[in-house]
Amino acid sequence: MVVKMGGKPALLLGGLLVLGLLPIAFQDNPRILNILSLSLVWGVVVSAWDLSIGYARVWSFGHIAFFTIGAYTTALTIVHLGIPPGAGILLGGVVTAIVGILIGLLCLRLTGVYVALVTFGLHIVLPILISWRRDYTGGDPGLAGFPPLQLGQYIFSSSAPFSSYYIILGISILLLFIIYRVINSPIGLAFVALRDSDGFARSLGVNEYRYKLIVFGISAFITGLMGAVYASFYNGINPRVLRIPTFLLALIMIMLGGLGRFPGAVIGAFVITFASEFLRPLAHWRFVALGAIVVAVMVFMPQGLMAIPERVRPFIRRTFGRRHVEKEVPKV
Amino acid sequence: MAKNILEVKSLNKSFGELAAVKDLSFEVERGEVFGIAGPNGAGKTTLFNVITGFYQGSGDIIFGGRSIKGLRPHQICHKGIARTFQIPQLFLTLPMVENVKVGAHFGVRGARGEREGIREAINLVGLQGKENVIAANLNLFDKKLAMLAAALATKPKLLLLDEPIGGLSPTEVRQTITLFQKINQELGLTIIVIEHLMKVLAELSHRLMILHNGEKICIGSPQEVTKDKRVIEVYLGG
Repeated sequence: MVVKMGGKPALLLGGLLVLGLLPIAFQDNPRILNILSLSLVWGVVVSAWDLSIGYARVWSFGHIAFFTIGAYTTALTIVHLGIPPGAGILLGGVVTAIVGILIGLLCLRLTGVYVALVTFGLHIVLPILISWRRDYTGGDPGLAGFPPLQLGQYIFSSSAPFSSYYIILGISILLLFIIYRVINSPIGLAFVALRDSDGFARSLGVNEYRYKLIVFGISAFITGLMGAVYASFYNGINPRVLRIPTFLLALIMIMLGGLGRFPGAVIGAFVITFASEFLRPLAHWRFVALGAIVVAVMVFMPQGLMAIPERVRPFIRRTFGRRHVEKEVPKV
Repeated sequence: MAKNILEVKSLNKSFGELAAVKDLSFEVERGEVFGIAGPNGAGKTTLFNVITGFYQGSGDIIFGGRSIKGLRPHQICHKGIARTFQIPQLFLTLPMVENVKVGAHFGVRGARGEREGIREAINLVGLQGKENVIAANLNLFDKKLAMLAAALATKPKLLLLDEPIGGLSPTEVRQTITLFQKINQELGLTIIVIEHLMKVLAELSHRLMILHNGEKICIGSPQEVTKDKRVIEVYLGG
């Protein structure tokens, strides 16, 4: 089950090695280091989103909202309640998980598009809430400059890119490991069963309400936690992240990597984050370029980058496999 | 133990103006094979959907002496009712063995003996060797067997089979009949089977019920039912 459901161990270990060693080559380049950190953050966020839309096929469109809730929870509790940054980050995850489960309860009897509509409602409600209590939330400019997380002598902040990268890497590996374990557990099996044939799954004893709440809870927790990490990293948060471009970029990341093909979403996040940063000189044409990438992927590889090995295998077999076939021909 | 494993009492199910099941009452005895036949639209699959909790109807359904009315499908599975579907339902992206595992893991209360349960179900239907075949790549007969294996892995006391032989070759039909008889006689499972082919149903069933327009028009042994005037009219007149 481990290999079939998601994540080829060799690929994962190789990726870990690259992620662990690559920054050493760039240690004097804060810009690259911070882009790598950002890629990790988005990698975890879209992997958590993939649990919902890729594995469970629960079309939650509220994940960027969850991200924002985590970020604001951290920011608000640190600024207004004086909570230490570490606890603030954890609280970001916990509060978002609770919100996620509440939204899940709202969506319990809904299917397909209706879940998307209700969850997208969060995107509409949040900016209003933020603007309404701008005395607390800082309104449009947001909150900034709150005390960063400090681990020993290391400060967690974009102004200390090298050590901060490894802190984010540590957190990301932990959360991605959790996602990997969930996918390969009976919970993951329930998600896929409900996705592939909802009626059959229920007739075999799968409680569809329970697993809907579980997917909302887990993915909201992880997403909110990363939102909190993001806010801590930049020592600030504003509502700009709730605008459409962020949502679209996240969607592109998942599609590029492959829906329901862990760790495709992480790969997609890295590609799009880097592409997005390096295409900045193009100003608003950046999105045209990104859109072109998406169209190309959808036309030539609709199942995403993770499906490449499946497509390539027949070619390899054809080219290199003939020797094996000849050996097996029996001598009469 | 009670003689009747299932009692349906005054069941009604309508979809808006259309009454799919009208005031239906019948009993199924423990250990028998109970056949249900009737023209298309007679309400047979709707009846199954109400019994297994996918639809709610009015009236009552007593299983093993207790009412299962209002329970959701997964709860009814845990009570001991399993079913198969007219159009084969499977988790197409997963290997066959994972399909059966869903039944073994989620359909049985308590974690013990899951591996053995999967093995037994696969062996019983004869799908050994095809464990790692992705379900989408199975042929029709194997898909139906896999669906049955998953249902059997939930360790049911009552098995509902909805038109299991559609699209099968004569050899496959024969194999299926033998399999159902084995499940009923060796495992002691009570079976309710919906089928179009009277011949097959008469061979398999201890008793038969004919439905027409949501109503029961005849119930009895295969010999009695096939000679009944109203049944002949419904099958040959329409």
